[in-house]
Amino acid sequence: MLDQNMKILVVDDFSTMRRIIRNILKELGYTNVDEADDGNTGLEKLKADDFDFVVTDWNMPNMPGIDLLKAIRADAKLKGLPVLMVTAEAAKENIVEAVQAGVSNYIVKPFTAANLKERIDLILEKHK
Amino acid sequence: MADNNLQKTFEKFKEELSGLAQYVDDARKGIDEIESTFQLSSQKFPEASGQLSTVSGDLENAANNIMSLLENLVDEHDKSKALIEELSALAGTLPDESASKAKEVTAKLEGVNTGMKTIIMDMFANSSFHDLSGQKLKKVISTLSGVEAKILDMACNFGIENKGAGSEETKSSYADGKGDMFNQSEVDKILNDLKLG
Repeated sequence: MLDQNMKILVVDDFSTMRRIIRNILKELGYTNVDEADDGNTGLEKLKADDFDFVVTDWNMPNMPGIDLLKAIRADAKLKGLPVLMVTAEAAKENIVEAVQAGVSNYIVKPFTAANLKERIDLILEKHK
Repeated sequence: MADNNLQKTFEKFKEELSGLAQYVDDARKGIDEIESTFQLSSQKFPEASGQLSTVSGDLENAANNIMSLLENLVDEHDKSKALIEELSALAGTLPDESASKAKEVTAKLEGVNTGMKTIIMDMFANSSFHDLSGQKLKKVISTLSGVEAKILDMACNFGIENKGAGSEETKSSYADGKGDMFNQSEVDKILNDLKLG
């Protein structure tokens, strides 16, 4: 049974993309969602509050998603946090780099609600 | 004999002068070409970057408008879902034969409603066109700015003064403030370009 109350942080520099993900998550039953517009802000929020799940873009100003992922994995408190990367960067080297950095799963934009649900379910299943 | 030698020297001198004039003319034409390239760089490139930034902003507005409409549709869908549930409950109060027919109709309505929700969510997902095209536009704007900086560098290294660079058009193109951030040396070059340095 998935926890529909889990707190999710959506990190993306495009406000429209955050809105899309928030709406899809709402449709999937996840309404406890916060947003950040780059990795720096995202990391601050993660350190200041208790989140259960992170959905992040790759290409962002100040701190890109891959650096946010590395910072999460390097932080004693945050290292176990599931991180789903939602990105337009579909090159093999990007995927390999994300996996090596400890990404929980990887979705290429544009994606469907079903695709997002499937990945979230897979991640949560592994984190049980 | 002496006259003949003088004539030959004079002819040779004329030939050399003509060659020198041609060389100076060719060099001047070359400089003109570089100057026009410089003008293209200082005026047209910021203009092109600015227009692309505007396109990106227009896309963002369009995507946000579409999403507001989609969010309204989701609200309407939720209302119709509640109405279908109400209808379904009412169907249970009808006489047997009518109840079974009414339940069949409400089940179909529920199917249609669910299908509509799936379409709305797909439309949400496809609204990410703004993010994808925006990222590509950013790359093009960054490339344009890079080429512009290179040409300005080249022009400065060759010591070319662009007569039109301090024009109002150039000033306004920089004043838009659109495009990538510059470092101090690039800022200084732009200030010089605008006759402010």
